[in-house]
Amino acid sequence: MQEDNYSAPAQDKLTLALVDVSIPASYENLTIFGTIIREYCAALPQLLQEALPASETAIPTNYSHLVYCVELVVQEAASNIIRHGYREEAGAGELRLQLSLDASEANLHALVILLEDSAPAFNPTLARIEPPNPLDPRESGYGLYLIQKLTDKLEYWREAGKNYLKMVKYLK
Amino acid sequence: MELEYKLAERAGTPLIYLSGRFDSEGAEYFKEQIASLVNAQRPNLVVNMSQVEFVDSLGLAVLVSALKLCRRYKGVMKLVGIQSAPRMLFEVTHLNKAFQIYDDEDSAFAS
Repeated sequence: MQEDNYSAPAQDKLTLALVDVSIPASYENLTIFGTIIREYCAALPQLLQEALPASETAIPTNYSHLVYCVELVVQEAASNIIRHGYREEAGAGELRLQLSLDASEANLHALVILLEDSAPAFNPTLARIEPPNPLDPRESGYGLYLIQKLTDKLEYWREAGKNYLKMVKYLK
Repeated sequence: MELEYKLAERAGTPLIYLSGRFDSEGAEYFKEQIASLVNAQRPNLVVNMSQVEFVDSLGLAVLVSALKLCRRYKGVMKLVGIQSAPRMLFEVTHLNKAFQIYDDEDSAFAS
């Protein structure tokens, strides 16, 4: 039995690639990522409205927290790469940041953050970080813990000598 | 914006105003300043963070170091007016239970 050919074809779900920027890996340059993220996130509500049918538009209720989380997890992951991956050597390599909007899951739009570097392999998703003890809080080691806690999905893979860290934040 | 640090005093207690970004660069400076206050026998501190827009893992770590330093000298460090987004970090890390956190200066000094 043939499908009804007269109805409008289902609109392809969207992946909007919006930011793709590479910087020489250094702490000073991280402020560039921060600025880009804030600017991109400021434009996001409008992009969502234009790109998606009204019924599917989902603008997070706590938008400033979302922007903060994105900036923070990028800063934490990128400084880890600079510190442990590139060992703070000037000119040791690059960091590439890609941001995209993924609407491939129904009613669950996601901001996808992809960090790429060419430092030695390190898989931050495998690090088991104990939750801090409020009675005797530790004096370091909050970075990976925050990355794990503030993202909805965290994936790592290595391909052609490069590390890829994908951090997903649902817009909810 | 880099971290700005301003030292004032209220009721004989050092009152520190921070503004800007509390991350790697500013955190080191803050740590040195707290150490010199504590070494000068002033382990009771109030830190007003209402103008701090960004705190990262290093900022948290340095605040914990400062807290422990004050405690070692039998002092107390109170945090005031943390903005809503950075405050979320204190909750996620349970550090809201380690610090004495107040909404405003008056309540910090009243307790």
